[in-house]
Amino acid sequence: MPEPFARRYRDAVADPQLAANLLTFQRGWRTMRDARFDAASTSGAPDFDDLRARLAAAKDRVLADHETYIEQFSRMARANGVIVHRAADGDAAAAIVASICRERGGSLIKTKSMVSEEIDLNHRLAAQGIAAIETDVGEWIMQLRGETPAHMVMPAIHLNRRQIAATLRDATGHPVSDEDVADQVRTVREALRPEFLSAHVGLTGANALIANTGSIMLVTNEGNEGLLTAIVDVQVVVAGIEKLLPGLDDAATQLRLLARSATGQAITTYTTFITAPHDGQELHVVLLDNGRSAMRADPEFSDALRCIRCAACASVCPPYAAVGGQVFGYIYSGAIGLVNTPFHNGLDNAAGPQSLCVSCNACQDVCPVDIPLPAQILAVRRRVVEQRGVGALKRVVFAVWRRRWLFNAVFDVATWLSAPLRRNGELRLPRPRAHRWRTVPAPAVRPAHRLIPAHTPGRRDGPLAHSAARGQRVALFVQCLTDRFSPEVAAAAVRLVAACGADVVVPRAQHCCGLPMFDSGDWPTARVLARHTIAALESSDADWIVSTANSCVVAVVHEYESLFKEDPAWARRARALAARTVDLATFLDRVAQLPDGALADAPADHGPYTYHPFCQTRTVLRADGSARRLLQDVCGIQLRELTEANICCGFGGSTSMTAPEVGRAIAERKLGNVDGSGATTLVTDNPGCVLHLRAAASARKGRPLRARHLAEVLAEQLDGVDARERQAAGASPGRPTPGSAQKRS
Amino acid sequence: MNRPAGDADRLVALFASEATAVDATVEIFDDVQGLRDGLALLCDQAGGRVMATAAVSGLLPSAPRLADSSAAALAEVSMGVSLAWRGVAETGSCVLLPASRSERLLAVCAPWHVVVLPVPRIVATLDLLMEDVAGAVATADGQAPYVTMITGPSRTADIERIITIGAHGPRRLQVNLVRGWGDA
Repeated sequence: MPEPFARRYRDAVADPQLAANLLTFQRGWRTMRDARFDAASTSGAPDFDDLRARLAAAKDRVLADHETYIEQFSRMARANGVIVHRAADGDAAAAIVASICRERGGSLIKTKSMVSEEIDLNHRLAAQGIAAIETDVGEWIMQLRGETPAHMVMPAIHLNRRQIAATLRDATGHPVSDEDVADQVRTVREALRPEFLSAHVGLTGANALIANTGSIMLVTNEGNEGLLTAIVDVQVVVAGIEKLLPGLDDAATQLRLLARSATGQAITTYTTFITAPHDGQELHVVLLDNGRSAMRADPEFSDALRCIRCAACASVCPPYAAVGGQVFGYIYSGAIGLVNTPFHNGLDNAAGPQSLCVSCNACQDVCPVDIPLPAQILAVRRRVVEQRGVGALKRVVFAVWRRRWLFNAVFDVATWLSAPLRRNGELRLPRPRAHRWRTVPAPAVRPAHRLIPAHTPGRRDGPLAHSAARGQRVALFVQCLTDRFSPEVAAAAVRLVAACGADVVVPRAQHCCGLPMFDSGDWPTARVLARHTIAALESSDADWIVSTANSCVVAVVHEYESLFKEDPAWARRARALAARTVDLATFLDRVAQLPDGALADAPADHGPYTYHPFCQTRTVLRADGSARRLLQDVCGIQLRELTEANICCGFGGSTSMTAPEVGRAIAERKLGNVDGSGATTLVTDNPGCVLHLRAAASARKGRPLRARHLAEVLAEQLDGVDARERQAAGASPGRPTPGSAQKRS
Repeated sequence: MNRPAGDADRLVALFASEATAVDATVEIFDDVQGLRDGLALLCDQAGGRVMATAAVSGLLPSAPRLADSSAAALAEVSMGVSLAWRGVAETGSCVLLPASRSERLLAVCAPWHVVVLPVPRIVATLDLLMEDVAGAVATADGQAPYVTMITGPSRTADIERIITIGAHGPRRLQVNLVRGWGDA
């Protein structure tokens, strides 16, 4: 079983090779995976969305009537001559396997089975004197090293070839090439071939159990399944009861999704359906519960039983790339590991890993069965907090934060006290080593609520005055972070919305939306702030609530629904507010419907631009298209292509504070991609991302990068157009302004 | 499984391109005699011991009987020859329905695996294959205890995600497509 979380985390961040290996892996995986699904959809075959809707529906049919499908499978399998067992937990499953092994000579050979890892089967058997040998290349390497798999599909993907060569040399006593992977694989083949030939009992997992035929589906690449299942006299299949599928047509859907999601293959090399024992073999199936029934009975988590163990949620996850699956997870890794660990291995073992999620939602985006993993991780976090509390530091911070007057008083004092340390918008503060990769942003001398008037009438002139939003009443939701650290962003938003001919009000009672508390699992405090926010914004009597804080827009339109699930009155008010709450880009693009070229101007030369969408702008608000249109078509700014634009920046709320090494790794990945684009101005659309990336970019010497909020860039363009029009009105009409006709690149 | 000839050509072309994309080698023979010659050539190239399943052993110059071979004896084989039950054009896969554990083993234990695939046995998609598999496994007498779909030679990407051909199974998979096989 794994070491304690804090120890695993320390070891992982101290190993520079680990993150390098995983980053290479993730990039290769994503390219292959996307290419496979793109190829399928362009050839007219069912696309990702279609396939995942189908498989999720098949899995849901099983889960709705689970016991019936288990019974059907068991009945069919028994009729085929299979011996079917039910095991309530790991102890029961291990006892069944041990008794089979003892009857047949006492050792066991295995293909890769995550379920056997889940119940720590090898160690349980070893305690009874039964040796179990792994045959999957990656899994055998992990067994030799005494580690748990770092990835559900590629267990040793956190290691490089030199590390693996050393392990194989130690194990075999033979010379093994450091560089030649083929030589390493040959070493494994030659070392394990005699083990296959002398085996009597073999254990496999199952990728699916087909209820209406009693068949076991196994998906492999290496050929170990074929060798093992043909050679052994007794085959034992250990499978979780969530592996059931109604029929073989559903298996075809799973196959199409599984290989592409897991390894980026069109299909795995071997797909096998075992329906009955062959030539006097004995075939056992152990159906394992181990928390699955409890999961099914839990409405927040039952969807997670759709999982087909493709590990896409790990392969796509930015924090996973920083620390690996032995830290970002327990036995199961990636997002699903944070979700199912409480049920299979206990809430205590999920407590540490869940804190590393940055809520970027990338996992749900690629999940082939559409599991709401981000919401489930937050639910795990909430349960951890309910059981253990939010922690001493956050308790104090939230006690201040939830009271607007106290929050403001603390900030006023802190701003005054820190004034001598202020240089260029940053505080010259000593920082612990783990935080030196970023600077500390200074709080604004004048927060937004003292800078922006409570009411700004809509303009009747100017380049945007005839927008579709003319005459509307818009309330600006400032956000507490913007109020104190980026008041210029809120001011820019007011200028832009007013320029569209809309009246802008800034409700004075507004404060924090409750997102930091919600994300930290402290839902009672989050509810206090959410109710306050709803009441404050409702009182504005506005047609639209607009914000430059996209994370907080997501909170209002998405998270409040979960917060008030059991409070219908507030849920109704939250829904009504959500219906008219939008991010600035959506407002300007879809509500005001700014035409192409409306803000085309070429003010000061800031070099090439690129755009990084805040994760939830893309995955929840689906507003990244609007932001791009505003920049490219409305402003005429040609954006440089940003590689891995769909990867988080690493801010992740408090994660970059509590796990600074994770925040750093992801920020460096992002900045590396920005450098690669050639851009010197990075535009993004969430204040947290702007501050995080600005602080990380500022700390690296010699590579200046402007990190700007979308609102600031758009307002710069507006000011440029205004200045040009004023000049044109004052000076000789028709004279072109320098640079006004050309686009910036 | 009768279908117009043009359809068969399209399936053969798709099968060949998909199978080749996953590192199988594909040869197409117009008749059984051509197939015999092709297999004889492969036997020469393979050297060592060649074994074939009962359904195709008659096509080889001389191959020892597979029946009753122990796992240890099979481990010495340098090339195994099997007959496919189906082919899948969409994925370039050969589907075997082995009659015994020895036939199963023959498909994975030798460094070379040759599959004879009669063209009329190719189905277009995975979904059509699953309909056939459902029919085969549903029979009460256990006609299809083990069905395996093979797509390219065995491989692993467990080390640095680098695809290495030839893990525990064959390093080379040769698919001999044959037209004019009698059982269509």
